Amino acid sequence: MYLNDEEMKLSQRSLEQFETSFESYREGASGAEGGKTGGGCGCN
Amino acid sequence: MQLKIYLWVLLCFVTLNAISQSKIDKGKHKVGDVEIDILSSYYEQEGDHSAVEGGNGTQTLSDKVLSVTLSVPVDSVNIFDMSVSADTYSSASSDHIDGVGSYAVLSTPSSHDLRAYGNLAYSRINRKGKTLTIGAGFSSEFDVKSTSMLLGFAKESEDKNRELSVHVKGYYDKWKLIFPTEYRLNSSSFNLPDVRKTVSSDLSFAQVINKKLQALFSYEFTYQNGLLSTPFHRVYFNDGEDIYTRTGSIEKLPDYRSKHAFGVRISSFPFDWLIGRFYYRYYFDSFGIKAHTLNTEVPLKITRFFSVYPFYRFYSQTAADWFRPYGEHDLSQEFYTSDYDLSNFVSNKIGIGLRLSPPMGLIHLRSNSGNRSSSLKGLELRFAKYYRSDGLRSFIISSNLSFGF
Repeated sequence: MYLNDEEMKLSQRSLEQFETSFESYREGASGAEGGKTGGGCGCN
Repeated sequence: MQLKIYLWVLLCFVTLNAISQSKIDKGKHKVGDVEIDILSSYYEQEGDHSAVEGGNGTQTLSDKVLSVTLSVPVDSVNIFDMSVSADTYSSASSDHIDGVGSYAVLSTPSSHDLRAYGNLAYSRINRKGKTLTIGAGFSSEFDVKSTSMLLGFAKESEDKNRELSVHVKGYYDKWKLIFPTEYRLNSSSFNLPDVRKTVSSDLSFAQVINKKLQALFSYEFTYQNGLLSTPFHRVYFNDGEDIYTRTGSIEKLPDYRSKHAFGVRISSFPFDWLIGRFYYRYYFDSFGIKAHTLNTEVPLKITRFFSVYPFYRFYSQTAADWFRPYGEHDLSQEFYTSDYDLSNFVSNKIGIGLRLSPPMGLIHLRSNSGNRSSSLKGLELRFAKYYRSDGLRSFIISSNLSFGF
């Protein structure tokens, strides 16, 4: 096991982007996690 | 719209094939694999506080997403990253834009829409550990078209134990203003802009602390200007007893918003088979919202190439200054919203994922001549359940297939 193992990455997993997306719409906060902060979807 | 999506996907594969050929022709220069990820997800939610009906109505919504990402290392210093995505969503609340209660103009199946979006970025890495990135993106759906630009810079230390990076991103959104039926004849009286501009900048610093622990600190600032309210979100005031006697209007918010987010990530492995990933964020903005996010993930390495990771996320926020529940706005207010996404609540998300990625891939293919190979490098599946204290609940299932060429 090493620091550069895929599980040790200091970033969101690729799959997390979908959850970050709906969280940014359903919650007031966004940012500082690599997710969407503005623009694009008008999902309600 | 579907033709545009097919053309984008075709463009990506033509580009990929051309660059792959170029890589082969370079012969002895070894570069990384071309990587393609095919990601998909299905999301479904239920709730009773639809902003379309003033904070009191169904929030049933489902969303399906398909996304293809490509990472193409042209050589050891130049990399292209691109993605094309499409999601289709159906929303019961959107069906009620055209009338509420006895004002309903028509009754239709749940409204649905298609959104297509993509990004293209170019990165150049030099031998001194500096990386420069430029990129552009687009998004298109029925009522909003968006374009974006990205500029990024990163510097890694000589021993590769720390990295400093900064990114600036800008969005330009053009909206088609859609008003509830009852306000369409005099919609010009609301005097709403149809453009939103967003600029965000983030600064992050990553540091290896010891052989088993590393951390990342980040700060992101966002400024938005223009249309920040949603024209088809209704609000009702407290001057009557029911929908027929209360004064109604549409959501009204300031035309600017600034956001600040501070985050810290920690990754550690106390044992070779056990990893801990932690994330905390503090957020506040000019709307009066203050929020805390805490995310914990504990990957268990069943084998060196198969891991299972349960995760849990806690979130809490205070309400925006102008939020009131259904029918509680005062006519003296300058701004007003009954969008429960801007209310006071806590949420919990719990889930589990699994990841399989053997070094030779799950399926490995080599051409007859032996000079080209491809593989299904890995598979990842993820499931999450989300609960919000105002009653909104959802689940999401997502998958990722990774290929290498």
